[in-house]
Formats: sequence, structure tokens, C-alpha cells
Amino acid sequence: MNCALALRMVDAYVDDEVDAATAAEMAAHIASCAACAAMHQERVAMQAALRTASLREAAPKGLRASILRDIENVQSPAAPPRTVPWWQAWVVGASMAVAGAVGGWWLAQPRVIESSPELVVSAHVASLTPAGPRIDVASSDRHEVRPWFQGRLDFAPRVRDLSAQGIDLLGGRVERFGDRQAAAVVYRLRKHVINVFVWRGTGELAAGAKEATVRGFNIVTWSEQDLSFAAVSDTDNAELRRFTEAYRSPQ
Amino acid sequence: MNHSQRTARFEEVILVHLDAAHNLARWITRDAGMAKDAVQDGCLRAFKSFDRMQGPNARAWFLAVIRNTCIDLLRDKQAHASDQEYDDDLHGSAPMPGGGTPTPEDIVSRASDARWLRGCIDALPREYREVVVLRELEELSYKEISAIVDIPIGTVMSRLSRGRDLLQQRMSFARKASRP
Repeated sequence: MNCALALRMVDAYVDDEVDAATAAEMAAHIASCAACAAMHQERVAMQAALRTASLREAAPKGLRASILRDIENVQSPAAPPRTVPWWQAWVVGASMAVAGAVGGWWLAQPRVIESSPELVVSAHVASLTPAGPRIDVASSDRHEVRPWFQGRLDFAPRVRDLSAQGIDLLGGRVERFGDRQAAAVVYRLRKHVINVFVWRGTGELAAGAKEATVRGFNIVTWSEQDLSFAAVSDTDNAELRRFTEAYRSPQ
Repeated sequence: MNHSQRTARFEEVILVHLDAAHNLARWITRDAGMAKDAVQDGCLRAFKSFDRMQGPNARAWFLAVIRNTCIDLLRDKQAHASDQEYDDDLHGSAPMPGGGTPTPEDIVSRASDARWLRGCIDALPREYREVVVLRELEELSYKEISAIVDIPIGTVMSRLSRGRDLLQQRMSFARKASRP
């Protein structure tokens, strides 16, 4: 790798968008070339600055309600007025969607891997409310979250303090995946909620991490002994991979 | 699917990305009121056409609809002046007066100054601003950005590189200007 090529590739390298061979060549070049190393450092610093400065402009209060009112008016004038409030429809719709996904998941047995990312995303989406992620035990202390699951589940999900990596523990809750119970351990990385679902039984999940993207959400799944794990978030693949590695690494 | 089922599905699949949509609209239009209008109009468009949604990535599809709405709105209001308002001689490829680029430490030390960073991003021409925002604030992959902006992945890569070069120069310019 020469400097001209390194400068052309540095952004894709920082963004984790190069293949493993190119990444290795870049790493070797950066280790041996001070000028390219400085350029790489600048890019990494800029990315960190942009991502930590809270520049994201979330939707203002009331916008969602305005949109739903607009949608309501899309109906043909002849149609009778709806009697179900939108939020009830949402609850019914969301549970139907989850039920549908669960049903599909069972029908698809034993090809669990193909449909379970969809199930995981449905559960993740259903947990996101305008007020924040749904949490039954809210605490950033893993010594409060972990014991909370005792008596509610027949296994102990891993709850890790990842604050050193800039990842906040928000708490936990119990989810139903079909006839089985799953723990949801909830984290936040900057503004992105990460749900880690843990359930008993490994299906066909391998120990090695497997990545998928469903409806714009990234998912990493893996198994350990007799437990299955799925981490899901709208953060990017590389960040979710870093999260997963931190969550899995022994402390 | 009846209307309430359709609304429920729309909320679950599309509106869950409302913050991302608003963020993109804010950075493309650079105006809070116009961003809100664009998101409302865009959501209506999305609702009318989401039966025909292509591909598995609802977020990318939704953001593409929002982006197109923003661009239409800007064109309608004749406020679309992304190429004119940016003085390339002042902030562009020409070397900075006094030379030099900010060190990584400088950039990090200014990271808390969100307003200053905002100004630096707002000064980018739209085609660079949108890819920087999609990558750094929405954390989307090149493939997703390529689908939203409707350009090849190679172009995503080169625009992002150029956008970051410009941003770096702009940050160094603003830093010098703010010094006594």
C-alpha cells in the first residue's frame, strides 16, 4: 500500500467499509507512515467529535401527532369515521405484528435463523416508546438489574457494566418470545437504544456472532452454552459489533 | 388491510424512524420550520406509497422519501442555493490563511461546542452535508446512503472524503477566526 492509495482509502477504513485484507494493509501502512497515521488520527478525531456533540435533531413534540392526524384525513371522505383511538390501534397492531412474527417464526421451524431476526426487531421496535425504551427495572447498577431477573426467569442473563466504553445500562425487562421467556437487557450508546435479548435454547444459532439487518435495524446473534443472545439497535454495524464484543468479553 | 391496520403498520415500520427523518430534514433544509413541513409532507407521501415499498430496508426507503420531499420543498421556495452560498475561495480547497490544519486534540477540545460544529456542517454544500449527516449522525452504511441519495457506493465514498476535507478546513478556519 502506498500513500496515495492510503489517503483514498482512509475514510472507508475509518467507516469500517473495507474488506479484511485492505484493512490489514491499511493498518500496516499507518503503523509505518507518520503522515498517513496523522491523517487517520484526524479523521478518527473528527468522527468522535461529530458523534459525541449531540448534533442530532430529534423530532419536536407534537410532530408525530400532526402526522397521524394528516394520515387520518387521507381516508376517502365516504369512509365512516374511525372509533378506535390511534394509540389503541397501535397497541393492537403492534401485538398483532408480534403475534404474526411469532407465528411465522414457529411455522418456519426448524429454520429458526431466517425468521428470528424479524422477531427480534419486532420486539425491539415494540419496546421503543416516545418516552423511551420500555423498562421494568430501571437502574444503571448491574447489581440491581441482575437480581431482578431471579424468580422471573429460569436462567440468569448476563448484565454487564459497560460505562467505561461509553455505554449506559438503562435496565431490564422480561419479554415473551412465543412460549418462551426472554430477558431484555437495555443499554444506550449515545442516543441509540440497544436491546440484548437472552433466551434459553440455542436453536441453530452458532457460537460465532452472525450479523443481519432488518428494516434498518442491525442485529448480532450468537449462542453461549445453552443460551441464545441477540443484540439489536439502529446504531451502525461497526458500533454494534464493538458493543457485542464488549458485552461478551470476560470482565 | 383496513385503515387502522395500515396506520398501525406504518407506525411500526416507518414512524419508528421519525427522529432520523426529522434530523435529515433539518440538515438538508437548515430551517426548523421547513424541516417540520418536509417531514409532515414526506410522511404523507410515504403513507400513500408504502404498500409499494421496495427492498427490506424501511429506514433507507423512508429517508429517501424525506430527502426527495426536502429537495422539492427547497426548489419550490427557491431557497435552494446550496452552490451559491458556499464561497469556495474562502472555505474551500484553497489553503487557509496562515496554513495549518487543526490537530486531533484541537478538534476534540472543541467537540463540546455543538453550536460551533453545527455552523461548520451547515456551511457545507448540500451534496456533502447530506452524506456527512447520514454517516456521522445517523450512522448509516455506505450501502444505505447510496440507496437514500441514489448515487453509486463509490460516489458515497468520494463525497464523504471531500465533505470531511471541507469540514476539516472549515473547522480550522472557524477556529482561527474565533481567536482574539
